[in-house]
Amino acid sequence: MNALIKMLIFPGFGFLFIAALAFDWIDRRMIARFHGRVGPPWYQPLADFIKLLAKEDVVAEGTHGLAAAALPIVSLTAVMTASLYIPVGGIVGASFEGDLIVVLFLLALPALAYFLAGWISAGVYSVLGGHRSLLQYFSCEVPFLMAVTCPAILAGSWSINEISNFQAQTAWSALTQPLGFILALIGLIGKLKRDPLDIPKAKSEVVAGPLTDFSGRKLALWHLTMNMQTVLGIFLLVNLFFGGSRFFNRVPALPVFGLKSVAILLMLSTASALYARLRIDQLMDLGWRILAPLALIQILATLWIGG
Amino acid sequence: MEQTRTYDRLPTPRGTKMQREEGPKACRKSLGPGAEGSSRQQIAGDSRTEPTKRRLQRYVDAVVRWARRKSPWILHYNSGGCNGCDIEILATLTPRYDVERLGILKEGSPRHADILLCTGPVTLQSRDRLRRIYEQMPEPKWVVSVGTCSCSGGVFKGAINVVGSVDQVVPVDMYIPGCPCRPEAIIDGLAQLLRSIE
Repeated sequence: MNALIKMLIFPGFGFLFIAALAFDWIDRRMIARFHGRVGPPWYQPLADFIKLLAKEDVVAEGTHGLAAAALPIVSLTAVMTASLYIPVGGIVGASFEGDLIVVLFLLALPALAYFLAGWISAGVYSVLGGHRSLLQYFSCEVPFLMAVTCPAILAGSWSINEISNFQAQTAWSALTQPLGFILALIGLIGKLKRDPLDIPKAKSEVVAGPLTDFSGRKLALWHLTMNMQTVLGIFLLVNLFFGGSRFFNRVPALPVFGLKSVAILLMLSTASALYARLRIDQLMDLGWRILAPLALIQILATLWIGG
Repeated sequence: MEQTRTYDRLPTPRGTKMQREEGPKACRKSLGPGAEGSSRQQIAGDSRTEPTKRRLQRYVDAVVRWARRKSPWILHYNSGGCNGCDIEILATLTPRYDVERLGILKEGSPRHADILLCTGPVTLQSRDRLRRIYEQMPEPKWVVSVGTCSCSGGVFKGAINVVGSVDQVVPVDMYIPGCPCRPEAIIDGLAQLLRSIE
């Protein structure tokens, strides 16, 4: 019973759904403020979701129908499974030594599903977007993984909860490893295909990327997956780089966790409002020539200090 | 010449939509007369569950209608105009008018869009493309013709390479005249269209 509540309500689906919609709204509103406009009302992500659910579900000719139906469900499942292992404000859904690796693997599955969504579609934009998404995945995932390893090395554990607790006793990893945090943030933007790095779904180049031919509830599930992935990526960064609540001992852990998450979300919104989109070759240069060597330096420094 | 004219006056896809609505998806929209009849028959057999089911259906309908009104995603197509109305549409989408307040987002793919904004008269070249874009959009969908040319053909009416207004090719739900019409007019037209949804 307890496990069911954890899965369906608190760190699981219900909480994640609400958090996904709320974060989407905060993000859109924040970008609107950067543009000097008002932005959508608070119910906008919910209205979009319900409208897409109630829309006709077209499967274009030449598309693999079964795969098109399965892929959004698979990626949503992977994301929701990952949510069980990410502690929210000290409340742990499930935890074991090595769950960081499981979470990173589960968060990588949607990227594969996203590429396959482009691959099975008949449209040229979808295929092009799918290829771009793989290229982007290769250049962003490596620095992200390397940066995320650093707090784990310092804490001497592969469990997200223990890394978080370790920082409560010492200091935030973001303070001891600022370089690693910035790299992880850039890697996260690339993983989530958010605005400065939304190369696979660039509207002015490849329409909507792999999702061009999706409509109705499949599109709704894709959007939900993306929003949940954003939430989980932010939660992961909070746990790894701003873990514990050392500086706010008087305040309960959950609001502090929420504040930290929103702070990281605001960093992402700022980046997407301020920076223009990179070309795919520029991203490859950035990923392999700058981010990956910097991440290597960060790992070596961490080993030297902490190991 | 006779043949082209009959092609231009093809039965509009609105008719096919009515046929499609009789399928299983019809239950999600408003209860038609057919659904009314079938439910009345079922009441005779099981009088307790059916009203609950219908009430639930009404609530679901209300929520879906609310969502459709609050989240119109638009697609923009110029079927042969002078680009004046397109500039006005783009001006509508700028931060100055901030149509995201109404939930309006510009989508690139017809598969994601709810409202097709057409500008310009329909030329012979773009007629099939306009029809194809309309068919690619999933139900429910609406068409707004922006500008005098797309409402009536405007100054291009009767030209040798022009079919005429947009409603000769696809069914139009809202006409916004003007040459070009101002962004305020476009927003007003869209808002009136949203108010009239179901």
